[in-house]
Amino acid sequence: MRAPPMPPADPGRRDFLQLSLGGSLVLGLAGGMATLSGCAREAATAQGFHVLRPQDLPLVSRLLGGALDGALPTEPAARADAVQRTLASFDRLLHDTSPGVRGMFLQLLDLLDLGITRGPLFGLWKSWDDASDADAGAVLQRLAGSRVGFLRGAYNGLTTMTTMAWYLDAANVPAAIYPGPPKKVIA
Amino acid sequence: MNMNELEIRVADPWKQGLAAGWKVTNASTLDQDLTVECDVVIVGTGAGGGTTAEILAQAGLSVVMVEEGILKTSDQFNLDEREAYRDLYQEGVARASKDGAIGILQGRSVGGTTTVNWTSSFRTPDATLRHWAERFGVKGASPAEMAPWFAKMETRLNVHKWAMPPNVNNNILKSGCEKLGYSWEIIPRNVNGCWNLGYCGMGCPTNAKQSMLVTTLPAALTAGAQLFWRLRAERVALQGDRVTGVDCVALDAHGQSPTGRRVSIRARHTVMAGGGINTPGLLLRSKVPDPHQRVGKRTFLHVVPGVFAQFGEDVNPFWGAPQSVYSDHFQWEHVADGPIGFKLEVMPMHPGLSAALMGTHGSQHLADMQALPRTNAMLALLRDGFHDDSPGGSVELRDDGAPVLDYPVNDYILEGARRAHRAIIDIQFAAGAQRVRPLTSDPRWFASAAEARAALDAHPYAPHHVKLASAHVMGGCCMGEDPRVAVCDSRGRYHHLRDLSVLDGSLFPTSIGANPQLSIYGLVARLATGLAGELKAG
Repeated sequence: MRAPPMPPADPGRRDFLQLSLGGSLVLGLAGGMATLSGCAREAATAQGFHVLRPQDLPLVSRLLGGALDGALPTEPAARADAVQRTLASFDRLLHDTSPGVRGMFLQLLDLLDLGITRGPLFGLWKSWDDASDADAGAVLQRLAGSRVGFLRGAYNGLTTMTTMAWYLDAANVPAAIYPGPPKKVIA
Repeated sequence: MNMNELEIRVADPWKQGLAAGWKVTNASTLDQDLTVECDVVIVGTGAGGGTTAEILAQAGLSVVMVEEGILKTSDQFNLDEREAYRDLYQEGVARASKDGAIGILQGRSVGGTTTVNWTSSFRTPDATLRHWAERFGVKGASPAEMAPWFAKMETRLNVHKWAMPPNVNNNILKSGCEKLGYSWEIIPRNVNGCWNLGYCGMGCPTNAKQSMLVTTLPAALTAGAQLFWRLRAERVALQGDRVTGVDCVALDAHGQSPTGRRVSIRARHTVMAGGGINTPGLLLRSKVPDPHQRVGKRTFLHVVPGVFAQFGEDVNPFWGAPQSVYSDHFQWEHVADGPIGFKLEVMPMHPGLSAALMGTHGSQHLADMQALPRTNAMLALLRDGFHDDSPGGSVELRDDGAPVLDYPVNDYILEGARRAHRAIIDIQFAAGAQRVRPLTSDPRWFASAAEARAALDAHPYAPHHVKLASAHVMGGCCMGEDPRVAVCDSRGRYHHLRDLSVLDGSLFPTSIGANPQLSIYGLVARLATGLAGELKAG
């Protein structure tokens, strides 16, 4: 028997963790400044939602618009209605994950929302209330092309949640993409 | 024929069993605290827990099973992706390694991952068993000693090579390998009367899959075992150096928050079978003695990179037996030295999970989704844990006591992903692909192998820049005779406490090098049979 492998020394660890730590520091600082300046973060969930808070709604609505551009209807009223439905679907997905996953995702939404991080990290220099779907698309494009692990990880998380929120709703999936499952009948 | 024109009408065996008096309790409805006494408490009802429960209950021991997931059976398996991910997967299918770089598909319901796996059933490769003996001092698990146990479980779960023709998605792997002169084989599956539908991952609607849900668990219940579901094992109960059972908390119907009701289970022997991540998590929460800090270490994933390919004709990757062809052509060139070996397989693609895997947004995402019926997804299962540069990950606890796996994606793994991408691209083009897209942060499609290879050579292989996932969590309670390295001995007994066993895939000292369910069944059948004999004698 050869010598069994002993626990490795902690390798130099990844850029991500440092960046993640950096992200947390920035978030903590930004949160502190927001509190000092009188605009405390709203922690309560928005009415009718399980997880999303009032300040998340414009942000996630625009991100859905950017991520699902082409899949969403173009006619304004139908589009707004589809985004509203998918916002609820997104909220249910988060609700069904776990406290750990939810907590991290809400932190990411905070970084996207707070002015002090939104501009420098995500390139959006106006509030989400004033942003368009195209602005959200530009934020996603910036993240998609980022060499920074943390930002690329943010892109993966945001596109996963937004596209699943849409395609897990059978009504949104045309038969040309997926004709659907067999019919289940209780015997 | 189109699957969506089929109608499924089958009897649900749980309906009959419950009517006949199976002892099954939904803990979310408890209106008082309970204390339960038994010979053996088993935490978890997947491959390890189910196998253990059947053997111990049929030996005449009183058995109580604890499952934090939901009880869903064939009548409720409606082939809906959202419901499946919500109810049948850990963290609503959003489980991931700590930094989010590896997505982890792991089951969470009665039957564990066996309820949602894709049925591939391989014996533990001889090279893996020999490596465990040589490197980790594992006793009693040589290929010759294990063979009868694999044979026993193959019979029990009706494991046979898939006799029907592979679906198009799998046939791409076969024909690509044939063109290139690579070896390939048909996958053995644990099914009985399979309808060839393709919905194994959402709970088998026809009960053809011989998961724990329709085999060992009904057998254990028929032999008098008791099952609590929506009950979370919070910590083991300790008395000196003895484990005396498990303290549990009831969860609400949604399965995340405690209701406040508690169940104390007192047992002569405690078996942990929550699988990788959750079993070490329970040990860490229990603050058991762990003098060498080994609990949760050496957790492996078969880290999986993949490549999408588009074909000129329909692949319909959402229909038909999900996995029926594999190739080990790149698996055993080196066992423990040299670059990482990998197994090649394909995966089924339904719209929700496919949308997430695309890793794009906007118009490209839509175009990629519109091509889903013509898309093949080929995977490599990187055989982690054999080389010294592949130490796996470590399970830790979050602030709320939930376990999370910290798995650093190092250069050894990333180089394996690059080699796997190249190998897969060659196979897909050989099989007639029009264009391919390795799942990395580069969203481009490539119309030739040369173009794709050049792009891969230039790509920054780094965490989050390569799409990685896993459906196989192994290790974390490594078995072996040296307590400086191993958490349990070769019989699965915890090194530093009495009356506590681990009987699940977390015992594996490395990954398997194949889809692990039959490795768990075979090993656990052997160890649980030994345990039954000792408990009956003592």
